[in-house]
Amino acid sequence: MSDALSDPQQRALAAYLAAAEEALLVLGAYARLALQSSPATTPVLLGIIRKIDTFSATCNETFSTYALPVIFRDRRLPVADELNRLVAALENVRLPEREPDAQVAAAKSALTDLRLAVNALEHAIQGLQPLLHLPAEAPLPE
Amino acid sequence: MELGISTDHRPAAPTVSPPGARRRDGLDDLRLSLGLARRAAQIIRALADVERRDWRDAHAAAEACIECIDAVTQATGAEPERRTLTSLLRAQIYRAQDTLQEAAPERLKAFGPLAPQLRRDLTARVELLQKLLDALQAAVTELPPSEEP
Repeated sequence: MSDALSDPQQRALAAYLAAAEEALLVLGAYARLALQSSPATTPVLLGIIRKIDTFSATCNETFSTYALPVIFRDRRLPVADELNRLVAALENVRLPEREPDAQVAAAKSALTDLRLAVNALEHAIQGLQPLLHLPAEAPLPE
Repeated sequence: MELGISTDHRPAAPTVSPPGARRRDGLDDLRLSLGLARRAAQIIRALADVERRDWRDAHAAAEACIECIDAVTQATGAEPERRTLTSLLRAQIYRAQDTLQEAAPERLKAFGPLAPQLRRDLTARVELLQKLLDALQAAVTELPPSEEP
């Protein structure tokens, strides 16, 4: 029995760790957004973000120790997931009935602009280069 | 014994809708859709690495989406629906826990045998990561109930 991980085991472990890390990456993004709007919870949010950093550092060490393929660690994946959610949400948009004509016209125009903006976002995301390592986030306030 | 079950099977009297009630379904759907869309755009913006040129484009495009969603809100009066921040954070922790379980040595054995020492080392690492997730979950419970930003 080999004392090293086989190639399929390396790939599986890498995929699962990266998926867990991606979930926390999104969690960290929520926490960072909340930092801007709820100063009262800053200490707890900073604690959450630092725990995520520790999780990420432990994952990094595991990737290094077991020579896991880093190709799975791509920040584009959670961004693409969110884009899919955005597009799905937009597909479900229905304008409320019985609005005055002027309001319906304004809403339709705003929705058209939104669809164009989402197309531009899709285009921008398609053009993204892979990030093999999750980059450091912006510095946290002390 | 009184079970609190009504034995009156007559059809209920038609309810009188308050003014504007007919629009409510459409507005609720719109609020939900706008809420989901806005949250997704916010996350893309937050995840974008603005140090890189191509990611700056994604950041700007996500920002433009948020502005457009706000314009739809203004045009329709439908405020995007917001969920509580803690429920969003918890959902992400559950996602991480689910995938971390798959990384456990017992699951990896499905891809081939593991040497005993390797299994012990991996078990220790996964347990450490699990403890970090537990600590995160505990931290999230310290947050007061609040809406997402």
